[in-house]
Amino acid sequence: MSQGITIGQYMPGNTIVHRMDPRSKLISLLVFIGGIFTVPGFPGLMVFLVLVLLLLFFSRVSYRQVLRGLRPIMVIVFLTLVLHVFFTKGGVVLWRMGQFTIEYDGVHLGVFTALRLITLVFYTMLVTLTTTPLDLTGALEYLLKPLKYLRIPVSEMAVIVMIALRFIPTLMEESSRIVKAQMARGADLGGGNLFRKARALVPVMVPLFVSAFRRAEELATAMEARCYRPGIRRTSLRQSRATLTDYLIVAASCLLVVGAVFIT
Amino acid sequence: MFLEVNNLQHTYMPGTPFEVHSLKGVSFSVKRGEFIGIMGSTGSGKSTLLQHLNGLLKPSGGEVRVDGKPLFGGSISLKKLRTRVGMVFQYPEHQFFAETVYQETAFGPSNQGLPHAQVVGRVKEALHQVSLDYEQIKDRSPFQLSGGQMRRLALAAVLSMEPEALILDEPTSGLDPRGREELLGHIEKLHREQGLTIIMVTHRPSELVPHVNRIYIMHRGKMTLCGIPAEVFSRSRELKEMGIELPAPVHLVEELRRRGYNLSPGKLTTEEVCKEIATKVTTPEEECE
Repeated sequence: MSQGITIGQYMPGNTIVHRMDPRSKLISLLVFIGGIFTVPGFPGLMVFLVLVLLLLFFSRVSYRQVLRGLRPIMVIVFLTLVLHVFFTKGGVVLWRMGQFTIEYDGVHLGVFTALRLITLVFYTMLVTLTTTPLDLTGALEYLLKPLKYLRIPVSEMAVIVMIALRFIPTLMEESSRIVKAQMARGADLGGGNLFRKARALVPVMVPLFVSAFRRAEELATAMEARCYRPGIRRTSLRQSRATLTDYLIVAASCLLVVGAVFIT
Repeated sequence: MFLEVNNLQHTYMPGTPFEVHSLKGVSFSVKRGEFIGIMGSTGSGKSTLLQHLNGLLKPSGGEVRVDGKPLFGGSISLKKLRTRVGMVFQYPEHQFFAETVYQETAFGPSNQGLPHAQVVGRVKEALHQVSLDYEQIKDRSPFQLSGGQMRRLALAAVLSMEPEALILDEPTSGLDPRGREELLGHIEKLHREQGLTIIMVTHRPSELVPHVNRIYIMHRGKMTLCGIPAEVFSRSRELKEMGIELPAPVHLVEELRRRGYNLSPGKLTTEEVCKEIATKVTTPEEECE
């Protein structure tokens, strides 16, 4: 049942990274993303890469999970690498075949961009693997609060995102149950050409939608029964509190990013 | 032996912090034509066990055998097996997808690759077995039926594959008393008249008592008790510890015995207990004299 885990799913733990305030985690993440994109050369990028590997190690997330998260982006990484290697020109010619050359700048830039992307994914994985989706949306809501003055319904959007996240595992479980039930009735899922595959999905998709709508209806009733009204000031059960450590970490990440950008 | 389970183990999501050992070495066997009841509190592994019986889950350890042949790594076709060992999930009406009752019931036999005429015959027979009127109901939407009818249709949708065994996971949950009564009646009739092997999981002991050959009690991934109903329900203290309720009549006799009434234990149904109490309790007239 390893398919029960989605990429980047929160893995419970009790390390410094897990305990950090989600808001400072998110800010640091944004700072690092900015840093990764502005850093012009290898030495600075290496600082970021080594740091994130250390953090991943200390937060004790399973390396298998991290590698799984890397898989979907590998295509893009590979593509940028190949494109740069073959089409970016400049520097020493490393290999020549007729008109066709591979030059130093191409290889350099290809490897650099690929590493940049991988580092980026590592940082996001570090945050999503150590923070519950609930905390993450809470933090996002907090950080987007200023947008309220532009009459953007931030809290409502956060509730929508939270509900969506909350129901991903539920719907996955539901779909696996429906798949099993139809298999028990001799359904052949997968196999055959595209048309047959699509047809075979009907007995799974219809009940899944029916149940999703039923759940939505039940949830709406339950929320109304508890007096939920959109656009009202609401306190939350779990107040995240930023400690001194959190401020220090944010400050340190800022310094680090500035430093890393300057050394290269 | 029809179905054999040897030292079955199952672990969900091994190697992650979410790892759960759902079954920790379960063994039991079922003969053809038996009616078996399985009880256990939530999370005891009942549903996981059931899903192994027709190959929907692959064991992490141990094995399941049907007619002596192992389910995995042997010569058994899982697709064929699933039509022989019919499975009715909990809330089976949540799997309805077809536009009409006919299509819903015909899904199983069509998947078996039967010719149209035979499928029609199977559908008629299956609906008849659960007392749904074919002509009247075949073109209606399954979503428009009443709760009890939906449940019976779900049962028919499995019966139409003509299975040799029926596995039922809490078939009566969410039904009103009358719907429950009707459904149990149909299940019992299938067992008695068609000789179907039945394995049924339930939370209500009273649903098992009159019909079953044996009851298995599961607790935390293990089979902890097994025997005929009278044996199993005489172990009231152990059952209580495992969070399993006694049949109401048994509970009553036990309470009365504790208060000093001289009633003999081992009576399981309301009728038996009524008779027992009626013969043992002195009448008011006698007391007056």
